Amino acid sequence: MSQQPVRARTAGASKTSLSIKNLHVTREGKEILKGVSLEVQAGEIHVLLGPNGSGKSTLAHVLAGDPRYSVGDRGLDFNGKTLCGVPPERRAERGLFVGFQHPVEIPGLSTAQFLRSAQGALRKSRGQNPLTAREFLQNAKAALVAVGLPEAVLERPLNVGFSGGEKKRLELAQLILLEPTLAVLDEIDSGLDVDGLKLVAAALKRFMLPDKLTPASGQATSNRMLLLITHNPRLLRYLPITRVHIIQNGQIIQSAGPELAEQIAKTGFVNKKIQK
Amino acid sequence: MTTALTQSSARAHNKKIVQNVVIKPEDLPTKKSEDWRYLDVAALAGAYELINDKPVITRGPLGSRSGRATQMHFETGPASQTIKSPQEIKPAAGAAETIFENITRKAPIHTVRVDRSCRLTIVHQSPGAGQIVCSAIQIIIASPQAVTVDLDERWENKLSRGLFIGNTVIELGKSAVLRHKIDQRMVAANHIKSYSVRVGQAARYNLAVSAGRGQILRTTASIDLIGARASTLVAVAQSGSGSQQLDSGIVINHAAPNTKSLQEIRTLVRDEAHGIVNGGVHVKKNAVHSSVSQFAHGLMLSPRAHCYGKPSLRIHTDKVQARHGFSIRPVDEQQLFYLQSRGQVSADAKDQLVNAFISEVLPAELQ
Repeated sequence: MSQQPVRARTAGASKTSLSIKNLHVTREGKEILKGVSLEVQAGEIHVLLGPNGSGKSTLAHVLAGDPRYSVGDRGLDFNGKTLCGVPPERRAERGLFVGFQHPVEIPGLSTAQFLRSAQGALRKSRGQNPLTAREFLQNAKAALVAVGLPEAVLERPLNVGFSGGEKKRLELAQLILLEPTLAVLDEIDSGLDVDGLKLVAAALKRFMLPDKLTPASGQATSNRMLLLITHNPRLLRYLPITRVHIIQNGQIIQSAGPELAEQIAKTGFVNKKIQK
Repeated sequence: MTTALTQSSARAHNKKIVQNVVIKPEDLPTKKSEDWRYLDVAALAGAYELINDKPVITRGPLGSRSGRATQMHFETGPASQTIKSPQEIKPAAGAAETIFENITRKAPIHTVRVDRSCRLTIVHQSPGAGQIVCSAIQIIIASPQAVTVDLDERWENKLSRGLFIGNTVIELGKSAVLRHKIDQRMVAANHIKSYSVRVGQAARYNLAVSAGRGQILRTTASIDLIGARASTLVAVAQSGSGSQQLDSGIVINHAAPNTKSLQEIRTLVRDEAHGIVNGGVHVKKNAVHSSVSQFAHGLMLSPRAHCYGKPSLRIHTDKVQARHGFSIRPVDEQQLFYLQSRGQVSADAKDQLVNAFISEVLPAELQ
């Protein structure tokens, strides 16, 4: 049984899940995802591994609602409701967060301004009062400290002049601030040194802390889900992984427990064959 | 050249000039013809030089009432003083605050001489509906020591809608620094302004302009880097909506060695607004080892808006570093998507990107 503290008691919270069924995605007429299926339940950490160009980042962008990709009208459900045709901001309101592999730079928009607007918009959608400037700053600084970024980042234009590692850390700080229920993190470990990896792993563990008590069993469970997209299994050593999926050429070719990640670390993706 | 005229003849002369001035949106340059077919600003703004000591606020075809004055405000030291309507003023030694209340009828051209570091604020009165207000200011900053002057220009009566014509001449002596900010953000009047700046040895001229809401807004600046190691940084942000016509013409002449210039112009157009940018840099033969950067970017928020950019670099020596870039584009879809993915609705996200586009080049107080 988990010894970790319970974050908050959310009585009667509905069971959360992400369900991807036979998802086909095209961009500019080219099919990129060719029937991907994946199920993530509350409290689970799933990992999507795959070589370059296998469709991992496409899946992240599709989940976030990137309009450049064409998705059918079914095959993508979150908490029992379809995500197909739902604009990106509505997905965020429902509790979906995607940490991008290459977060965009926005010159002229300070990081503090961006974080405050994002947090304000989501709090408003949840019916929560906006935070005061002081409360926001406290939260933002705490989030930055948790991911190892200096406070001065708040004054800098969003992602402009950031190193690869700093961009990833800022994505993670957003995850902490915006409090989603499902986090999809695309190569959050790239550009990070060993200390950075440990810091990210600690932040992700905190994200997955149990946040409710199941009345029947009295056990603490988490309402949150994590889908890690990577082609590097290093980060996985620090996290309690539920399931590992291998994607190749737009299809999930194998799903298994955490041992699959170790196997991939040794053998690589080259000799993987489709195992339906 | 100035010519003394009687008050009545000055008025007649003035009236004659302004009666010939009819600015129509269709007179603005189009893509097909980039000739400036409308109003010769320099000629009009120079009209009061002919009028000399007579009214610079004039009756014109737009209406019949007279306008009001321009105020100047100095902060230089611990004490304060007020000077009324001199033609030539100089911040007094030790004065914390020198307020210059100008009656334009008596002082058509104001000459400000500055020989120490100070803060100077010029508050213009905007012309009322149907009025034309002209302003002519000469600023001379010269001192044996290096001085830094902050010059802020702003407008009162922001809602009034007339025509403001301004002509400012600035001379920067050796090692002088002038940080010049022009804040027109909420000003509804039409504006036609021209700035002629001469920058001396090792002096620096920084200009930041935030354009207003008038129907027609034109800012032209001619900056001559005449002393070795002189430098200038020009940041202009113009944002137009409705059927506004905005244009900026910045010409920088490098006329001495080791001079440096940077132009950053941002134009944002909505609805059916027109935005025009003419950027010119001329590096003369003797301006060796100079550095030139010229950037202008346009953002179009409506398919009916127009945005034109015309870069121009004339370089007459080989030993120069020059960079330039002009672009006109709609809102970046990936930036928009990123903000939306963080919970911001499309309209709010777009507003944020638009503000960021403008803010990037301006100092914080003009954002």
